[in-house]
Amino acid sequence: MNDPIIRRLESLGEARAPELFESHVRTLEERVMAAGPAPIDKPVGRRRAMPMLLSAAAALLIAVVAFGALGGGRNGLTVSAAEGVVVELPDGSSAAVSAGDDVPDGAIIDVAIDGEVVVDGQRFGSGRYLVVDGRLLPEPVSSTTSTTTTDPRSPTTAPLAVTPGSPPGIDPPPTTEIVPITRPIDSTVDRSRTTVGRSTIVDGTTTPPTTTTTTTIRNRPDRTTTTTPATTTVSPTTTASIPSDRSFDTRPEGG
Amino acid sequence: LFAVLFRRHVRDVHRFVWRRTQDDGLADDLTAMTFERCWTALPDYEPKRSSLRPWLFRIAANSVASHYRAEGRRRRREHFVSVRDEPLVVSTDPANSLSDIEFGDRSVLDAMGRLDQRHHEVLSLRFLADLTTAEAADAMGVGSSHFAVMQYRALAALKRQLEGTS
Repeated sequence: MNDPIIRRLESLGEARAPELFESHVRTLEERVMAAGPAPIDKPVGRRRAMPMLLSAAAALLIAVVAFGALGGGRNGLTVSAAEGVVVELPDGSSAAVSAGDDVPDGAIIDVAIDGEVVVDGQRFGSGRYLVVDGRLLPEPVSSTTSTTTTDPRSPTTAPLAVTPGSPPGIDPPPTTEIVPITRPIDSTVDRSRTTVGRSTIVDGTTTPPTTTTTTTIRNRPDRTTTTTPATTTVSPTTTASIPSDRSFDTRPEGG
Repeated sequence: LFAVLFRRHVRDVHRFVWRRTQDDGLADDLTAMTFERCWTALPDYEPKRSSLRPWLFRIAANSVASHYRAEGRRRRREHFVSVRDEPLVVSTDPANSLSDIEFGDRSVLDAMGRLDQRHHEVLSLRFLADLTTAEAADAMGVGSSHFAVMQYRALAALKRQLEGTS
């Protein structure tokens, strides 16, 4: 397919070029010698500039992403609207909040019963919220509330469901249900066996007999209490003291 | 050393450049540029990698290709179309073709000027530089079979350019 083109190219290669006379050669030589070696021209332009631009753009993108992932320098939030809202700042001071106020991370926003606060287009009703990473989170229930216990010996106590107020727009935290122990703790001694040893006389001294009391608690057959020696008064009916090692099942509601 | 090299090869280089440019003044300029570049690169020349003559012609072909590339950019910038850029109608009549060759096949040369640098260098070294195929391959720093592939692609690109022009 290229034969005609090859023929034309070969014809161009056979074209008679003007001969260089000696004077012309000398002129060229003087010109080259006067100019000296050509300066090294480094390739510039798109071929060299594009990779540099792309590298710079990639570095900038990575920096932006990393900045965003690390919080983006945002250390609080701006309240769009507020009514009946008081903020407790991390330094302990309190102030009323109005629209446009900046609230730093770590502050607690307290919204009155009939109040509301709007942040990032989300409306939050009555309650207490903690400002974390520029977002409003329901303030976690204090530990004293969550660990409220009931009398373990009253199995009729109703389960305590801790459900903090969930404002609209925020997923409610998992409900913690404290279930009291339904199994009554039985401290009745099931079986008590006391072994009294004999008194011995050594060198005229009477050694009191050793008394061993073995108490087995019902439902806890693995527990055996052994008292030795029983130099004190041994009561025939020993009542073991059961530690209140109550356990609570903590399960999400409905789970 | 450089003076000896210049004296020995200047005529061949000038002929090669003139065939490509068909312009006396431009041929002088590009010949001088070729030797200036050669002088600069001479300390880095490695005889083991290439013979001196193909190496010198590669520099010359590179200078010519660079010139046409820069010229093309300048023309595009200025939206300037010179008279010599007017495409010639290539006749299939052998008599007319002969006439084109006699007066210089400018359409082929102009189409070569629009090729990318590598294709331009391949065709220049192969057809205009009085080099054998092995020397042209040596100048390009590739083997003969590789050079044949490059030549095939360069010719195909040249054909596309000519068809686009016509």
